Amino acid sequence: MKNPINDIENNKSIEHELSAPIIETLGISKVYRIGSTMVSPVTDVTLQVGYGELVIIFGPSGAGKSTLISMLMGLEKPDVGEVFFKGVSLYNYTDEQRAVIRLKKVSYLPQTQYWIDKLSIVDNVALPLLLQGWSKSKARTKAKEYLKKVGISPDLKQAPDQLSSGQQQKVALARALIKDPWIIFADEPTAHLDSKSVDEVAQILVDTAEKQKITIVMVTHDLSFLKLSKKWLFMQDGRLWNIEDKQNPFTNIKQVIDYIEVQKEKEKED
Amino acid sequence: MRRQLFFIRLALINTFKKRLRAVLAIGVIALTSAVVVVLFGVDIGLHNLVQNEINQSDSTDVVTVTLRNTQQVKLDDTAISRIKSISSVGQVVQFVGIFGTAVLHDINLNMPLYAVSPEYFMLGSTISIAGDLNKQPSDNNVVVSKKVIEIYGMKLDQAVGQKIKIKATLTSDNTGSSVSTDTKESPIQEYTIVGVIDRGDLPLAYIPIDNIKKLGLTSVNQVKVRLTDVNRVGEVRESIEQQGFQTTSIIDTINQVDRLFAVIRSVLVIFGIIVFVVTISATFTIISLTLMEETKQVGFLRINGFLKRDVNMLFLIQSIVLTLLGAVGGSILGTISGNILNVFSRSVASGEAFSSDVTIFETPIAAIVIIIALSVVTGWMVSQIPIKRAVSINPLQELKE
Repeated sequence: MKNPINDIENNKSIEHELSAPIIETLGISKVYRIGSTMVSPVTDVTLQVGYGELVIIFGPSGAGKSTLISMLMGLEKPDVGEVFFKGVSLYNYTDEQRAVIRLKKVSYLPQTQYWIDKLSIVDNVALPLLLQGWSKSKARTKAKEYLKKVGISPDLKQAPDQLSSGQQQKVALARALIKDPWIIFADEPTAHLDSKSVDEVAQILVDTAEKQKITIVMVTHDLSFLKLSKKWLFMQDGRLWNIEDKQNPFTNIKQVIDYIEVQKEKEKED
Repeated sequence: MRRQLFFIRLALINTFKKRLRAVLAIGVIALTSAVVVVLFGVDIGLHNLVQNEINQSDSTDVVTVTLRNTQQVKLDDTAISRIKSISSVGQVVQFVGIFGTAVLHDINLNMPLYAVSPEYFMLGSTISIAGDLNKQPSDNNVVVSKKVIEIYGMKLDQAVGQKIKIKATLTSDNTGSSVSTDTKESPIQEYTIVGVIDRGDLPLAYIPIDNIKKLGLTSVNQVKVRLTDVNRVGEVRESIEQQGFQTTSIIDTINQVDRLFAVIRSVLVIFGIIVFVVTISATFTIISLTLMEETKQVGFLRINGFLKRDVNMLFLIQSIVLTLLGAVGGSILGTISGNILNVFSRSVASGEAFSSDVTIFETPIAAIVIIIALSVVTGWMVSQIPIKRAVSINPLQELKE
């Protein structure tokens, strides 16, 4: 079994061992105490994500998706179960080693973008490389290259918040891709975008991921991604269901979508 | 190294993101630090100025012997011989204050007259503003104050060498007469001015004591004793006091001044502590506000591989930048203000009243070093709670909110 830390240190590109998953969980659960009651946002989740796969996780708000992603990214240790990253138990690494994995080979694409106000879009995109210790000029060159890839003109003076939300998401995509990650965790990356921007962002993300063999684990409500993925999972009350699982409370994807739509409406009414 | 430089850049961006707030915080720290620098500088300056002026008046190896209030024991030749015989006593100069009249161009000027030994001025550090005080007054020479020169309309640069007539009057205290109303007047005698000293608006003259002794002076008011061993001041004073005299030394004054300045310094230390608390409060507030505003940034950076120690460093730099800039700025501001104070005080103080340039502010190097060192410590201290909060946040949660 390969050690991902060694791979990172030797700057090796990912090996696509189709037989082994890049991320695997074995019955992971997380339990919190809220007052006198115990809450389990993630319960007994077993999951396998293969190299280069695009995995879509559906689920209503509060289903435990963020806690699951947090555990998959090495930010929060499960109370029960194991997370394996490239076959090695992720939480056997120290905090620092897990941070190094995230620093170099894991990206996160959130719903709402965070920008460092005083930095230009180029420097914001270059940020993951600057955090790795790249020189400013090299990092900027690569950032400009990635901005062009996502269709944004690299302007050293322009601040990200001067862009439209669709353009901002493309810049965020460039920032997620710039470190040549092995895996991108995306949390509703197109939630606030118009349909044209959703299609554009989805296409760029999926095309680049396919070209560079990047694995994507995406939490989304957006049906545009359904057609782009072959692996759909559904999360409800802390449990994760494969859509084809016979124990799944829903018999097909349409039921899942309807359920999510109803939940969304309820949330709006609340 | 590049990574660390980027952290510093990021910390500076965060610190000055809210420019007005950062400038206000630095300003408060700078202002309070400047006040401390000025106060400590003035404390040192005044202390040195006072000590310098004291040292100008007498040396530390000189003991002044005076009569006790009862005046039962006289400072006569016998007593002076006994004092001279004390071990470590070197020079002994005599001083007596009598009444005198100066006469020049038919103008009579009544004034205090001091009859002194020729070594009198050598024991102190009185500076002549004209002429030479070395081994003066002797023979028929006289040292006068500037006021005498002014009264007689002489020019300072032409005063030395001028002749002046002086008449001295002795009382029964000086002659030892049992009749208290007995006075003895000397004939008018011509003296040559050999030196002029500054005594402000007081007209007075110093004439040789031998000239007065010829009139029947039996005892003096005061003798000054120079010791051959400065470490024996205490013992010599004790021996003299055992003979019924009173002694003083410049060391007494220096000790009193030192005690006074020790009290002033204690007040300054308390003030310094208040400044320290102000600095802590200002920096802690700013850093806490920054954290509250930058939790998303911390979350984002943590997700992107920022280590806990990196978060630590980021907040530490922010905190220390604030306190250090405040302290350095305050030290510069304080030093400039202190020097302005010096220029102002020199312009208002009479130069002749002080033996050297009036410097009421001296740059308090030690205080500045302590202020700067404390600013770093304060920066470190106030960043600890925000750092603890920052490393304990849930990065994903913060970024989602």
